Amino acid sequence: MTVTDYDVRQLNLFDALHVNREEPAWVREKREAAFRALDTLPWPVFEKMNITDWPWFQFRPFVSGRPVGSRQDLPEAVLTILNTFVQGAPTVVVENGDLIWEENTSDLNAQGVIVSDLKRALIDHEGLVKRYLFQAVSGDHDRLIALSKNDRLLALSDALWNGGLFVYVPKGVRLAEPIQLILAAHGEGTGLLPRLVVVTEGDSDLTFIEHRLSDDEMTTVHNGVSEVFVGSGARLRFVSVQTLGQKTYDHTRRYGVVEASGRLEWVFGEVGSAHSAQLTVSNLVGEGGSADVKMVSIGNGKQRNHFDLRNRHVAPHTESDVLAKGILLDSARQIYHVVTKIEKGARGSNGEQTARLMMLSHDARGDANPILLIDEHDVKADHAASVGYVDETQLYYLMTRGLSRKEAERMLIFGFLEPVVSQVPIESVQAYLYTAMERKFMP
Amino acid sequence: MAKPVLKIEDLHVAIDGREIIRGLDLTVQGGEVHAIMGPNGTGKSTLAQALMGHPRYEVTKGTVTLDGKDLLAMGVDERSRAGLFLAMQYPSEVSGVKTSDFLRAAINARRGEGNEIPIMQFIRKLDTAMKTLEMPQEMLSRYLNEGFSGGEKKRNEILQMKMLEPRIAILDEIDSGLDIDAIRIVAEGVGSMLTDEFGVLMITHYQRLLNYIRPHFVHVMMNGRIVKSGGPELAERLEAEGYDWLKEELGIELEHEETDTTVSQEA
Repeated sequence: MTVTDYDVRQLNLFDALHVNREEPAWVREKREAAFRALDTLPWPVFEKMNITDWPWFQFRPFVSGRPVGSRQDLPEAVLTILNTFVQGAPTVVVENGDLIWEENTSDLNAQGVIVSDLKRALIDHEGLVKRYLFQAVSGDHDRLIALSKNDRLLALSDALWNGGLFVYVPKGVRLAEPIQLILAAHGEGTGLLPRLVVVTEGDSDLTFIEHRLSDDEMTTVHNGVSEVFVGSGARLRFVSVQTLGQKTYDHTRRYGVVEASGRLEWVFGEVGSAHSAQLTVSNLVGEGGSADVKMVSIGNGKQRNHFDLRNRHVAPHTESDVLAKGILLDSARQIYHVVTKIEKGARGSNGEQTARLMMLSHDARGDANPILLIDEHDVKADHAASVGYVDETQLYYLMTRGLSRKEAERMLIFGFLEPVVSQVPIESVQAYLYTAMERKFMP
Repeated sequence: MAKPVLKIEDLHVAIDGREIIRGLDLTVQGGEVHAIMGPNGTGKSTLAQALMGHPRYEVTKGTVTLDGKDLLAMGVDERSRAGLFLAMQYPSEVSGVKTSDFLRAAINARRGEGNEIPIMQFIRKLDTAMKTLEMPQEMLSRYLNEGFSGGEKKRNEILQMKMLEPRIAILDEIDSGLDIDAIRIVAEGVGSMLTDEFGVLMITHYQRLLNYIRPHFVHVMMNGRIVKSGGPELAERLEAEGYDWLKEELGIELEHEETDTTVSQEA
């Protein structure tokens, strides 16, 4: 279970920060307060999975990335993913705590778009960053359901976050090409603790794609917090693919804040092998805003995944939709906890959610928990959830045409996932998701 | 290539421990069309599913060979690759799987790795088959049988048969739920394949299909056995007079009145 014998709570934070950081005082104060609270704050509540004995504190903090001189010097795993991305589009690579590579980013400046290492952005654009960093999590928008206001895994990120990215798209700027990020962990025992801030101002348009990975052979903790802001009338497609390795413990938090008539489209491909505890919250705070979640996941071996997806309607006439599908192989365990919360006053809102899990093994266990919390009567809300084994009648039908059981299962799995994957906005990412899932299904 | 031969000897089949087929002998060869008729609940669909290898149907006795090879020792997919095809009465709907992708995978499953069908060749073949069956192109991009009408599903079964080119095909009530035009199209689709390298075993309630696909042999099944065999004239008499005369002639009381199709697709 132990990642390394080192426990980050033994760290002398003052020394570590003194050596490594030139950060604004408010960031440092946040770190210090969070660090002090690590042992006193409650655990986040992931209702059907006990994650408190996962080795969240066993990692090496503040590990640097290795600078590279050219694209070809990037690690092979990174290069492979880079090749599945949209070529020619602005792309950055972050390894551990550092931005180690960027390409096609120079044209962005002319439009006022910022794509910057978060540490750098805190120096170059401190005022701007301060308006957003930590704000989606603990600012005024967070009067949020169930999860405690603060907890030790969030505090762990606040205290020891290392590197990350700041993306800012000014008002009215509509980017035709996606902005792409690869986030890679390197080195045994390394903690990957990025903070990501993505801001799309009013009437802007952005597709953001990120891919997070760690090596299968490497013990790692990933504790990543993303804060996403969608301005009035803006549209953000946020595509996140994770292929974290089997010795990685993953805690992912994503917070979205959507202003009036803004649209936030999340696409998640959880196709790695890590044990995960994830929470994604979309706050619809402006009238007519909408949030959409499309998610696929595949678990194998003894993988444990808890996915918590929440849409919170605060303003009137807001809409949310969740479509999540999971595949469970071997003795994998997967939980989808999907919450639609409509606050008093969010009249005329509509929240829908669907979560479906397909199990291919009788040792696997899936849970889909749809939860509707409605405090306003003039609304629509709907949910669908199912957990079941692969359909034997369909398998038989496909096999009568000559497909082996394995091929028939593969076809049914892909057919099951197709309605979600086909909506991923980038075709090469669709293909990648299928390949990654196929690798897990047919090793 | 030699004529295909499907040889069934003293076949007994049980579902959940209850014997449905009780000693059935039948040989179907290339170039032959056999029709199996009979009242509901006499084991016709059970025979079809048992030959294909449906896991719920247990062969308790007897042998079945295809081209001299032990069919019963093969898995479902192996039987298909060996040349057996079953056009089902109730084909499954498979969401998310496009009909064309499925067909290509099925063809390639029998061609083997490294010998996949070239895409243009596949498209041409598919195009020809679809024209024969008067199927619209858009069906290919729809998910397999999903939302298809009864008639569309049956045509899709025959389309698969034409694409897979089996040696022996079993058609399980391919005419049920079809109007006369559709029956004609489907029958022509089957008829156009008839050569010495292709044999057909048709299961049907109705004579009318036999007006379009002329059988060489007609067999009547009752209580899990073939009780009478003859030529096309036998089907005509059954259509005109029903089964009562035959029951009387043979002294047979039907044992199950429930249909055997209710379990035919349940896994």
